[in-house]
Amino acid sequence: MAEAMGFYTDTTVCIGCKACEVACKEWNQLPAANGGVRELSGNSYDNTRRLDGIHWRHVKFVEQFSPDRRDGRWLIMSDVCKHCVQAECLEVCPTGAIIRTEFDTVVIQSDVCNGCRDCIAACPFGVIEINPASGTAQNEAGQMHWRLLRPLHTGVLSILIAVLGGLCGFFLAGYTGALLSVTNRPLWADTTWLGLLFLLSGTSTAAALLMLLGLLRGARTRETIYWLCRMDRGTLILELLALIILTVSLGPALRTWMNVWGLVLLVGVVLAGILIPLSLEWRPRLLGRLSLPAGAVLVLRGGFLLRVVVIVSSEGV
Amino acid sequence: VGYDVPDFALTKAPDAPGDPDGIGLAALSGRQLFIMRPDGVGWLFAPSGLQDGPFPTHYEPVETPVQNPLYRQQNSPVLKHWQRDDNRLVVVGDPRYPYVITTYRLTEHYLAGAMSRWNPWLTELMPELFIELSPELAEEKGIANLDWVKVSTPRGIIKAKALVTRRLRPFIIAGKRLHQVGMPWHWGWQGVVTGDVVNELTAMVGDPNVSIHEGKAFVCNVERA
Repeated sequence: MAEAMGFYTDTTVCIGCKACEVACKEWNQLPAANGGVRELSGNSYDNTRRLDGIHWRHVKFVEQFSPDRRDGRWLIMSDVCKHCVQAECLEVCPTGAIIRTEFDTVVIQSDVCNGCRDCIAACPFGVIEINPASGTAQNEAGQMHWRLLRPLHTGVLSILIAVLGGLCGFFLAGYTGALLSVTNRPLWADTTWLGLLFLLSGTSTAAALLMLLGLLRGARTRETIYWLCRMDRGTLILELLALIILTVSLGPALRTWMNVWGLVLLVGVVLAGILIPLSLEWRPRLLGRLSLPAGAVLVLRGGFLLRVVVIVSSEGV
Repeated sequence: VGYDVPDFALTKAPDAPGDPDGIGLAALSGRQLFIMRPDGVGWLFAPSGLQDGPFPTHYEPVETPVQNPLYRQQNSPVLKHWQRDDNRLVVVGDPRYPYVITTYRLTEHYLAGAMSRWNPWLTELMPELFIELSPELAEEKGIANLDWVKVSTPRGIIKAKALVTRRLRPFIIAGKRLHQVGMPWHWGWQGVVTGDVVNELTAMVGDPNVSIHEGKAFVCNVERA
């Protein structure tokens, strides 16, 4: 469930520039009345006159001046759908075209609307009208919903940043291991699999860290945590495979690990850093609510130990 | 400070010292109110840089219905006036042009409207040229809201629709009632919407320093068209 959203206009700072009217028309690609050629309304600076099917936002100009001007106010109000808690339009709609969204806004789905106009009569604020282009009832609310959804998921820029950033991140995660392989230290120079192992370990620890952060933020991130958990499980299995392949590829250099470091690797990394968190993420009931955070902490600790073992064990030779 | 928004700390006393290590307004003493000046103080004497001065004074606009109440010199003696037959000025008290007029912009249009008058989303918000006048003047001249009005000066005559509003109010100056009207100047002869050019009314007079013309205060006549 998303947070309830509303649109608040602070009339004390509004100067009546009508930029919100134009922005609404631009976003929703609404036509200008009569191609933009209208008569002057003669009512202050208000030439929009009222909300209707192609004017979803209306800046009202109310002049309250006493005849001697001693008492004077020029009130300006950007009027729009109120998204009523008890929305009459929604109650009377016979087709179910008007719905309440996860943002607690009221939305007219123009593709479900049959143009019966009951909502127009029901709305106490005169917000809804027929859009002459579609023949359906429309107001600002419908398209605001897409505005609310949009920044969360799409947008060319956010996709671009995500893809490029992801590529850079993966490159950087594997790079430390690959860099060690080109030295002439024993253990590091004896295998070409360190880069892959570090990449996978980096991925699984990253997923674990995000999971931990998500758990701290509570129920809102539940869906994301589910996906992170699945991703962590997959990468942990791959990490285990990469570690086995690396061990095999070491050949005679394996004796570097025939000491206490080998034991740390076996117990600290393989058992406590991969197998136990794997089973915890697979069967979250094992430790109840503590399963996921405990698993994530173990994965993080395992990833750290793996690097300690790889670095320090080589020093001992 | 009334309706003005002060640029300095509102509660700082005039004799309060500035903090030399302070950030922003804290560095200023209570005497340095003019934050746009390098020395922070207002100048009554401007020794260089201006064509007029060095002391400030008040001159009436080139065209005005009143004598300068402060000073015998009516207008700035160094203003620029391009002397042409189509650029004649109204002398004080000319009964043919009794009303004060000012011109201004609206938020919906940009400058003379050459760009914004082509955008239907903007033109529907401000579709026609208008002249704002008080109900008192409208009644005197028999003008109703949205009537066509003829506005004239010695330089030109244009037409606009009347927008009668109590936001405009007559001045009482030296016991006499003086009316003021106002017009936006965003219209021209091309675009989605068109209208008369308000700058045909203004005089080609420039201030002595940067030659800005006096479009904010001059006089005109208003008749029902």
